[in-house]
Amino acid sequence: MMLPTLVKNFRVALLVQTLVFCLSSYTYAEPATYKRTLEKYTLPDVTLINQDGKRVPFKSIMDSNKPVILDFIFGTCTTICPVLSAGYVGLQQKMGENSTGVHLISISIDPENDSPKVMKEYLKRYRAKPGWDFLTGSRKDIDTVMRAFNAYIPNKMSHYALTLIHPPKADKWIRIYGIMSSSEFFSETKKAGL
Amino acid sequence: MMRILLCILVCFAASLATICVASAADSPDQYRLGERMYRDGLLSDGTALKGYVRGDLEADGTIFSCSNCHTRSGLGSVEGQVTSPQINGASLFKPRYLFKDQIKNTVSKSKGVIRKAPALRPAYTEETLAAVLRGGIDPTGRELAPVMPRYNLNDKDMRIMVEYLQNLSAVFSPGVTDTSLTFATIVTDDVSPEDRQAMLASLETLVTINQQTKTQRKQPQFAKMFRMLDTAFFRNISINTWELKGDPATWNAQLDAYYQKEPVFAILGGISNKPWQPIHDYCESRQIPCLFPITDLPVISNTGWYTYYASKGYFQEGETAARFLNSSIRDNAGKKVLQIVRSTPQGEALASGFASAWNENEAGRGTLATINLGKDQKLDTPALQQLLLQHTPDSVVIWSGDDTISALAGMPSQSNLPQIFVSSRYVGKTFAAIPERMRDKLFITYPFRLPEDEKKFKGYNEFLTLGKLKQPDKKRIATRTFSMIHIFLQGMKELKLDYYRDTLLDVIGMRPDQYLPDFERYSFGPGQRYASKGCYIVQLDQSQTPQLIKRSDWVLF
Repeated sequence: MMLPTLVKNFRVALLVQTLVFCLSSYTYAEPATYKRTLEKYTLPDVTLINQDGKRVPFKSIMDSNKPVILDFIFGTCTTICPVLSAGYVGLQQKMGENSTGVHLISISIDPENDSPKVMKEYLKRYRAKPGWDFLTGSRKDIDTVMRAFNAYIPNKMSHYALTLIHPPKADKWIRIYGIMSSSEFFSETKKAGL
Repeated sequence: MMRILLCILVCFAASLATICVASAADSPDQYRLGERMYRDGLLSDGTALKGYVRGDLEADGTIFSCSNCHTRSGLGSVEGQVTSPQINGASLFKPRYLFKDQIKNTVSKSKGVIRKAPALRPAYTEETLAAVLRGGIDPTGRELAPVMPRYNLNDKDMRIMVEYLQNLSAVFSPGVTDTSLTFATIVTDDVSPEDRQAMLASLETLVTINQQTKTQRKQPQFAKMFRMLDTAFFRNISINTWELKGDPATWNAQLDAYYQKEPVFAILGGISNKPWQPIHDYCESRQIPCLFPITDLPVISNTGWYTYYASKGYFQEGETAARFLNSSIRDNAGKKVLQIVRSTPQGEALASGFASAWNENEAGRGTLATINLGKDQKLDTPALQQLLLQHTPDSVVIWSGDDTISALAGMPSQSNLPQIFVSSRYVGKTFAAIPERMRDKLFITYPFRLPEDEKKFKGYNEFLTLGKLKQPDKKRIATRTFSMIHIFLQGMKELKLDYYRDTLLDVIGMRPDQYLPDFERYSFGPGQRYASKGCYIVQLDQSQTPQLIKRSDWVLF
């Protein structure tokens, strides 16, 4: 009996919606600078799938001597993800031919829609160079990964700008909340051992 | 004197130039240039619009256009902590208030109170709008959020952009008056009276509920604020039934005749056993939203905008079979797959989905041979045995109707039978005829929630159809219509008072997952047009009335 409930609760829903809208109008946007902390995370034992359809044991992303940078995005995202991905593009441009000196990883938070085909097209649209992988997986595994990085969100439309940087062999990750300028991102990556 | 004359001439020339530019900008070509800049991030000379985030982070317009955040209709969005405000003509060139103040001012005005709540910002002018697009500072001196790029636009492109925004969502879409909202639904002449009734009964209930609110509207206990907002829902809803007859090639003209007679805001549902393509094309050309029609033969498109489908139908089942095979033979490339395809829209849609997903896995897939069966060509046991002998496949995919079961049931008992894949929807509900000895070889694509999990949704359709259905809703027509109505009502709530068709599509695209009858999940996302993304691979157990056993996740890669 979902419909009558919907109709009855319509005014309550409108009130809540009005309040939420007012509050969101006050908050308006994310902070103008980014927040940087050092955090320790344990990588979960799950297998994800990359843009070529290959299965990737998630823990294997640490099997390298390069800095690893990770963010959470989805293929049809409209606001946060394009800016995060523009950051990846800018970093790869700054690195020139050495784009594989850093392993950039984007993890889908819309795994049901982000098939390898969608992810491959996304990377193509952003003119991604080698060294940038887009990973998807079962909803359960993706939730596990989000929780492992204290980044779980139940609804993809309420996600936020988060970049995680792992310097080679370090025991902690640099957690960056907010949007970095291109030069700030490059500087953070250099600090992480580029 | 000469100086004055010169001034007059210069002024005249300047105003003439302005008039020329303005009239050019008003032309359809100029509007399309603005639309291309807004939606695709391409400047008038075809190069990419460039913007910068936080000073030096380049945002290329071709991958990050205005419509990305502010949406196609310009009504804005809220994603995470970022609010992208309304930037349509009706909003930009008027003062902006907090939503609560806007309501307060409207209510005060109706009471004759003159004291207005202050505006967040004054109305933009062309100059202040150009300044904020370039520098990110609004007329009050406030800096826009850092996520909003600052754009390099020359004067010519700025004028195109400003004029596009002036005209964007400036007037309500057709089908809306101060007191009414007109919709349509579509029924084609191949649909049985029972199926037709299963869909229409639910829509009739929606109209009945809407009519009941007429009484509520008169009750004084509702605050004026809510009465004003309620018009978003409490306008009088009517749903016309557009009957399409004969050759699908004539449907476009029939649809246009209906539309000319009475324009509608959107098409709710609709039902046909034939491919939805002509209706899809009509909706695209007329820019009319069509919400969740009952079709298993939708148009598969990455660019379609106006039709929301519940799923990709048969195509999705074909995709799932190929992904299951690809993942199971991933480490065993070289295995042989035989695909038998009946030349019907259903068979071809299944094969098309299969081909699409089969080609995704370039590295590890096996070899695929396809045999086409004529529409009336018989598939019996001898014919099937002959094909298996000829091709010796490791797996066989049969995209045919209920003849598949009798052909399989007659197969002799042997241990070296290949894996067999069939479509549950195409084959129909005749699986009990599959002998027990065959069941461990048979894999079935099943695009719905499994029956034992579906029990909690029992009764949903009965409520909306109010017991008007004489037969059980075996084809899930009433339940799928129920889901359409549920999502439509959520969209209408989000629409508030902004009666723009693109906004309705935008707000539905931002809905969180919905757990409704039939499919495991309806999930959404900006621009996504197929809500249910999954399909199970199931097998039959060994009982007399076989139960389904899951052999895969809901979504396969």
